Amino acid sequence: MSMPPPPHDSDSKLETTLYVRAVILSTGLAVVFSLLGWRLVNLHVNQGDTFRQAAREIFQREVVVPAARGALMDRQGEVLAIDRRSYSVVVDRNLLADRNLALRSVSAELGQKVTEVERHYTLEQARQLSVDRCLDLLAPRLGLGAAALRGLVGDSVRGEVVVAKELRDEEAQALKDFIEEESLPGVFVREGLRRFHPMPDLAVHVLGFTNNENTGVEGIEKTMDSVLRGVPGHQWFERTSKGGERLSSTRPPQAPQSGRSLRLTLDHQIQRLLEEELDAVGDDPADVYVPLLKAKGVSVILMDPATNSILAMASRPHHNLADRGKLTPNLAVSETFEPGSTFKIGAYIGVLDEQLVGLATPLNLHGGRYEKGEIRIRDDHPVEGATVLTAFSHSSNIAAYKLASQLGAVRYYGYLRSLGFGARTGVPLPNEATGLLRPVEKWGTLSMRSLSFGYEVNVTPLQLLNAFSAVINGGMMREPRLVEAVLDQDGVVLEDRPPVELHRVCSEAAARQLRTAMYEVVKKGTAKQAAIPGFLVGGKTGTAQKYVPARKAYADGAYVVTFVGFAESMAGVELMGVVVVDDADVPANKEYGGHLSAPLFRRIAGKVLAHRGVEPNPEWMPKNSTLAVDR
Amino acid sequence: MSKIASHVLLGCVLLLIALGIVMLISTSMWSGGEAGDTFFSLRRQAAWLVLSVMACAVMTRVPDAFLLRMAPVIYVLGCLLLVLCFVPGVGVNINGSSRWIGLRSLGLSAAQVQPSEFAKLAVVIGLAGWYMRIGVRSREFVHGFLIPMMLVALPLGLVGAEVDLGAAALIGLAAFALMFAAGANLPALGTVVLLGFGAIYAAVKYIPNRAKRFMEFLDVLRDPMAHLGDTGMQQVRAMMAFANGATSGVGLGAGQQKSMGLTYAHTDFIFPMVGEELGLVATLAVVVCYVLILLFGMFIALHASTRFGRLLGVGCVMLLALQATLNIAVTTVCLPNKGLPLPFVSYGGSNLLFCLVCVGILLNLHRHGVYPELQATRGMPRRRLTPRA
Repeated sequence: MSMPPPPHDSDSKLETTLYVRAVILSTGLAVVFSLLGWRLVNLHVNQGDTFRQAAREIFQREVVVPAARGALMDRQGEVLAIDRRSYSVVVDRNLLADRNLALRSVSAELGQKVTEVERHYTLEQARQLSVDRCLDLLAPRLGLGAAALRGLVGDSVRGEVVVAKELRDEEAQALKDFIEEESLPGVFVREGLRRFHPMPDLAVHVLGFTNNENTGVEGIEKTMDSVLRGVPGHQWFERTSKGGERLSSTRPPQAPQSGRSLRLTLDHQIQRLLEEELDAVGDDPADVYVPLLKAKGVSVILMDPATNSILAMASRPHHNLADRGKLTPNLAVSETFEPGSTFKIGAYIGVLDEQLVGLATPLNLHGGRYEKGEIRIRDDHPVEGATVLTAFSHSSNIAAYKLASQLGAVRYYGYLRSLGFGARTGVPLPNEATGLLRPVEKWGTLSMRSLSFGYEVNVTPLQLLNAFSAVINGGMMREPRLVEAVLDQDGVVLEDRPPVELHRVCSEAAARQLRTAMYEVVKKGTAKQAAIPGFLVGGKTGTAQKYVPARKAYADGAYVVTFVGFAESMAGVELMGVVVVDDADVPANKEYGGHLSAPLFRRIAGKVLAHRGVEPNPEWMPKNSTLAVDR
Repeated sequence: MSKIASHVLLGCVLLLIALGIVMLISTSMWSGGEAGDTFFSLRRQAAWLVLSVMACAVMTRVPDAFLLRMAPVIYVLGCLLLVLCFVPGVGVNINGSSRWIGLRSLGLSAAQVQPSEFAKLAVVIGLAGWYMRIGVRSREFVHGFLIPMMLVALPLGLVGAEVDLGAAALIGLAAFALMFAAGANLPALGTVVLLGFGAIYAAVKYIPNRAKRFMEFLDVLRDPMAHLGDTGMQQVRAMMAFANGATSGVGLGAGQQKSMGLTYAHTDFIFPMVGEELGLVATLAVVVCYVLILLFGMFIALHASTRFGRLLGVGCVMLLALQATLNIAVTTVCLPNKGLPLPFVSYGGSNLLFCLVCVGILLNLHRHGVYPELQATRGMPRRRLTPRA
């Protein structure tokens, strides 16, 4: 700028001052403007990321589209658990308290123009009016009191609250229409997925359940969660300038990937038969009914011998998956007990495998009373002129001890470990107990005695059945199989899960011999009540006094009674099973496994065999049945 | 340069007005409010624009000698209008501030004017007139400082009492700049600066609303994200708007902040909307426009033919430039929030009218200006320039 001429109407010095000071002012303001320009560059670009992120959080609503969880099916493909659509009502508190939406809603309600509303109410009043109206209209539709709903929504103006869950299709649609009609700000009906059990009282312990996030927290839902769960999808919505929402233009939605399904080895019909038997109350006074036993716990597992597959697994007490009241543990795998006589197979399999004895080898049972130093053993069912076979079938404690001693502690312990005691079976169920089997170096002087007939050891029903399974099936130890195959959503098999063989426990000959001994138990021994007409039934009973830790002693009236056995037709072994009844309230002299568990097994196995259509062999009908004892 | 000064000035003003209209359309799509009349605001603003352009045209033809003669009258009128705000039945109270006069009583329904807009001009004209009158005594303490201070204090106090602190700050700063340019005593002015800081401190400390706003402002600067829910959120939302706009903006009408949370989006906070929808390019262009208005306005003012004209011109330029500075500083969160529109761009009739009157005055000064480079030799008859725009 050039200097203006000295004006005529004023003092020239004053004009110079004006000029200089005006330039100072302009320069000063120009500098301020440049600084503001720099500030703009910062806000737009340099610091932009933080604020862009915040803006995205506020103006982009992320909706997680849940992935459908894989289904659980039984071996016939019958669905046991599957995800179903369900709806929830969500209040977005940010939108509920939004100024513009509140003004509109109040203006619509009062029939006044927005500017009128703005004039007569403060923003806070308008907001309160709008929130009150919205919640008062919504509450009765959700079956809630207005105060209760207000309590749910709370005072915060941020975040979302779920105010109603698990609505059915028609309810959800009606609510959607209602929200639309009354234009309730910030209220949405959201679609979700919920686990549904078509047969909610079936195999509850095996299936387990999922939590609100649809994550498995019990049963196979938990152990196979990573297979069953899918990958959730995402959708981003952004608010439009009209107050609505549209799918974000900047972030494309990601579709959810459904989880994989499992085909279990369970058979829902067999499981149903089993559950019904456990709940049945008949009027035959000679028979055993679980509800009348008033037992602390009952646990039954049925297995298919060919593949070591679990066909059915049920425990009492149990719960219902639909309402899921008081949860009950899966006694079959997570609870241990002292097995008693069933554990004797450890000693017998050892001596038979090492051919130290044969089934016909005579044994001196000392007339039912054995004393050697500290060791005193009594037999409840003394056997005259005993052989290994009759000692087994009559469950002689003395014989078991003498045979175990014949093996020696280390080899005896080796057979016990080999049978899977003291280790998890690897069944894919949560909370599987290890059981307790102390290593030899920790044994006391009486340990050999106690162990030989099933004390000082803790096992789960599944461990016990799995050990017997190895013997019944020729000596090969296998993992109990619960998952048959992994399928995709369309039912195409992605992965087969064949039976897993672990190791050989004993020779086939030894296994065959012990199996024969087990027939004898049912035929002439302690488990006569397990006999099923027309089938070969074998097994072993167990009756263990319960140890009371408080008294550090074994209780007189409290027993765990067990039967492990199998049923065989002409075609071979059809079914194996274990029945464990814990602390039944029954009259004295009826407390033996032979009186409680064996008949339960007979009833259950009989029904299952009939259901499967296995032909009874008339030759094996009771009257003329004979049994060859092989040597 | 002398030829184009008024063209550049007018060009910048027209660009800003055009931007204002575009942004108004974009924002009123959301907040136009009245059901069935999306263009309510637009129509109203258009009416004000026509009125303002007419006023601007008239001002280009009003000789500054006339303004000089009328200066005392204009000044007194300005103060009287301010008093009217407090008269029941005439003053309109919105959001706790009585800065409007309703014209309902004059037969103009639904129209309100802010007398503080007129008062800004009245103070500048009054001061310029006063300094013109006292001539060389401008350097003296009593005539050049004390009396002008009192002239400023009266309207300033009235505007402050309306609780229109934005306008009060603008009047105070512009008057101060004018006194500084007119040659007022420097030590005295320096004292005023100190007192001014004292007054701000007192205001922050003793006016409850101010104190709260100020503390909030400090807090917003420290932790912007924590203030989304409360009253500090306007400025936070403004920052988000700038960030969201980035370099080239999200596109006209696509801004999110105006629909979700940025209140006064079409008035005091129009600048962040420009930032969000048109980006850094546009906001920098706006700043450049104001810088050009400042520089060319000052150029025109300094070349006015009379001392009164020069003082008046400096005052008008200061009013425009300072208002723009304050608004941008507030919306970019460099200053605490106070209500001041962005000249030419913000929605609001009174301010547009006043700004275009200032432009009219400057154009008039340019027509009668003295430009040595256009004169062959000193002493030649002055040539009058008529802007063609």
